[in-house]
Amino acid sequence: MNTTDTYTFARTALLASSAAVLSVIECMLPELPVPGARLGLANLPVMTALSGMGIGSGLCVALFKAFIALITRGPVAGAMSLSGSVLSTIVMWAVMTYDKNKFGFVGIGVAGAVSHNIGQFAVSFFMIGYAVGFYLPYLMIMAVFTGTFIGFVNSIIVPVLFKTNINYYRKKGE
Amino acid sequence: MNSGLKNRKRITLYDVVIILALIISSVMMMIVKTSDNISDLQVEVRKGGKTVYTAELNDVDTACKVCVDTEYSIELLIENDGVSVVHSDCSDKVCVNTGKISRTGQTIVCLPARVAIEIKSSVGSEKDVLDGVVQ
Repeated sequence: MNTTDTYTFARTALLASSAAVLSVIECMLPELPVPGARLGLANLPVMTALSGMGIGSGLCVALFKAFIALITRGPVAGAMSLSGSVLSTIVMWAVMTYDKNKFGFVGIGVAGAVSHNIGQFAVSFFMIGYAVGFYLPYLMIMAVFTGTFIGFVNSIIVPVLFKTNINYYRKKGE
Repeated sequence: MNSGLKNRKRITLYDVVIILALIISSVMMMIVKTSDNISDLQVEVRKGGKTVYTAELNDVDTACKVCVDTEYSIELLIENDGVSVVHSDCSDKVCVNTGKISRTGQTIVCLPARVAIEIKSSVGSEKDVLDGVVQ
């Protein structure tokens, strides 16, 4: 294992733990106007890991987030979180690598938020039936706004976080 | 590492196209889904795909409370002009926070209890009967 692997490992772990904290904080925030809609703050570290370190790292953060949802909010929330975050990770990665720099951070965030909703809908369709389809357009509109927010925040975080590597510190003499 | 990190912009033209396409498609889905039918309303409660309770809203003179699910004790308030969940034992309380639904197509969902409460028009329910015919 060389230094790059160690740094990737450490950063993935840090982002995974911040995803866990953000999902807890998100539960404390007031409800959005659409029932069941949430800000998707925990999607932020997934996208950060994905754009900085690739799909392996992103999937690790997503799976850890689903595991935290499972043990803190029960099996239903765990299944929803798992399907939503795995689908959104794959879709965000596809959008990111499709044609380099064709999509900006906001586009990736929106794609991730909408696909997160669609992944969760797959589970709730399976559990309840077609009646939940009524919520889909409302949640999709909310996802556009929250995804724009997440993408905007990430456009600030990612350049700052991934400009710093071990060589950067060495040059500064630390 | 190789996901175009260096030159990625904050927002591009393609992002705007995605956003507009999503907003337009969801607004169209909303228009298709909800209609302003306010007479002949029927409430249907389903648990895991099976219908467990139905009621005609027009027949309701005074607001009444109904307990529809034994496992989670979901209490509905059925009024002449709509349905709301007043109490539920579930953990997330999304169903209670949804408030009152009063138009065809609107739905209250309680995911932990696997219960969906949907408003239908009584006229439309006859069409559903035809949908069940299998050759």
